[in-house]
Amino acid sequence: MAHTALAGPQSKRQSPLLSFSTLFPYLLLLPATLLIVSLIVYPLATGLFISVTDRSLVSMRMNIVGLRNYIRLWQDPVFLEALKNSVIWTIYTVGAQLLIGLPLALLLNARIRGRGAFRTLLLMPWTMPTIVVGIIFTWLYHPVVGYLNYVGHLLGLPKIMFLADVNLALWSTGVPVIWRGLPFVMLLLLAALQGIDRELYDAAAVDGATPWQQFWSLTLPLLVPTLRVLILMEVIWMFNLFDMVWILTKGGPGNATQLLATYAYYKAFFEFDLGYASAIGAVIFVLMIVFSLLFVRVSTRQV
Amino acid sequence: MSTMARIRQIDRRDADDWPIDRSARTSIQRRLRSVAWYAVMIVLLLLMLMPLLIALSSSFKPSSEILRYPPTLAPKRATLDQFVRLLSARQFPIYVLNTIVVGLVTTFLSLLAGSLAAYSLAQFKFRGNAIFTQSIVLLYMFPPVLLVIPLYLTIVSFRLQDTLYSLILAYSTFALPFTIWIMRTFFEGLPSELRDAARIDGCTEMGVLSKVILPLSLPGLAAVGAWSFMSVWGEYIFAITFINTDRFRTVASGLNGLVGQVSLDFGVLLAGSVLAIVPPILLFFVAQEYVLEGLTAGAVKG
Repeated sequence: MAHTALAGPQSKRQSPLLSFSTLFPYLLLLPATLLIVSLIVYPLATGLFISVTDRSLVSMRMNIVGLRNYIRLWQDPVFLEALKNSVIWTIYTVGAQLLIGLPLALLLNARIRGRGAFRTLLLMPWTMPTIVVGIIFTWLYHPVVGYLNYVGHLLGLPKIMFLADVNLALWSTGVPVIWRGLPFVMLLLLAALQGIDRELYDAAAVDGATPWQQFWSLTLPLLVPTLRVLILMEVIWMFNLFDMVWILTKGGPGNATQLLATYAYYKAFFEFDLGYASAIGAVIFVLMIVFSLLFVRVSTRQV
Repeated sequence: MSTMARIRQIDRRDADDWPIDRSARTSIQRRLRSVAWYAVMIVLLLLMLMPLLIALSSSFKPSSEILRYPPTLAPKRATLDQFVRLLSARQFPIYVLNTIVVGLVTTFLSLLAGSLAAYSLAQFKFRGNAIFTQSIVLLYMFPPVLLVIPLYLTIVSFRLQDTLYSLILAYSTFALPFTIWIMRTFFEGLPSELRDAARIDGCTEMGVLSKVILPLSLPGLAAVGAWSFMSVWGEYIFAITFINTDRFRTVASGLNGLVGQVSLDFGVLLAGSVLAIVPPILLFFVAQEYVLEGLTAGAVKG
């Protein structure tokens, strides 16, 4: 029996205990399984089921409508805009976090006294609740009392409507998300950098490699495993993101910052169309599964 | 070895040979290099922490100064006006209390159910182990927005809307899988001989768990607990959806209620923000190693 292999030879002699020790790991799993099934699996299955119904938040009647919600999605210009925004948003926020996080990690990897204190202080934004970051940036962006417009004024720039300008809102909304997520990216990359054997750099220096060459042909390839996990996680988080956008713009102005998650939430709790909202949620989920499978396949093949 | 422990160890190792930087030829070059490093780091740090610092300093300004243009950097006349307004006229202390209750109960429940499950997954071979472990990873991919709708319906059907129970249940949906995931890697790090040795000495399986494994896993439990409490503290989507009555709001949804008002009262909002940062920052500085441990372990092993 496969499951007795770990228990060792003694347990075979204690036959009354055998049945208990066979069941023991399952007993340990029981409370968590009950919670997960009732709080996650069952609701999610319900959610997928609701997506093929016309369930509404304000009435009890419910009919199965098949794929009608999904067909409506592709005729809905707001959904298509939200889909486009979500893709741009994900590339923008994940890309910016990596492009800023990597140089920061490289700087923190320098062999200089006191770097531990800098590292701790740089991690602080990550500890802040999203609503607090949202409030602070709403205030900094404010067209009248905001600091950013004051700084812009000092630099001779015209007044900028960070959150009200259709062309700017998505980019402005991304800044607090990037700001808050940056420390995490930085820390993971730093951990990976510190795992690189220093002898390799000494050997490369002896061979006459410039720091730039060392970075491209030594550091970066060795960071690939960490980058792979990091990108996968960040893409899932950013594509699912709801809170910061809801706090700052609620998807506006117009639908300039409408993401799939905010649109689903709006449809569910402001237009009470639970079937349609669940269909959007299901689309997010399917897209993330497809992305993860493709990403894992492509990124492991190259290395 | 765990990520944070490795970072610390490398800090210590480097501290021993800081004077011998092999790539810098002369001591002047070395000194210039470290001066440049400090300069760059201080500028970056100021840039990074600027939003926090300005918010902090402005929360001590009187209302007239917050609205003044051009804005001032430091308060001309420091006052606790905004904090007094926040704490006297609003239900902020109740929000704090609610959040602490929800945070502690959620954390306790997830630690209890989650570490039992993690122990089982890490230390026993049985049918279904791999599938269970993989489905925990899959749970990360579910969009919260897909979960919030059916969970809301469930909560309503049990008449739990507008109670703290609804939040405890909702928050377990992320605290529990995270706890299982982190504690599993933690338990895998414990030598399996421990269990065998204790069993040979006549310990029952429950005895092994409570007398041998539990004391050893306190650092891991602290890490997950700190992380879980911090996530609950800042959680937003369930908090604004499940609670409509002011006296059941958490800090996040309470502050959100203040943002929703027609004219933004930045004084009160900033004071609330500053107070809302204190617990997670304290937790972070007290338990930094643990918090980061949970975070990076979850990511690196994921």
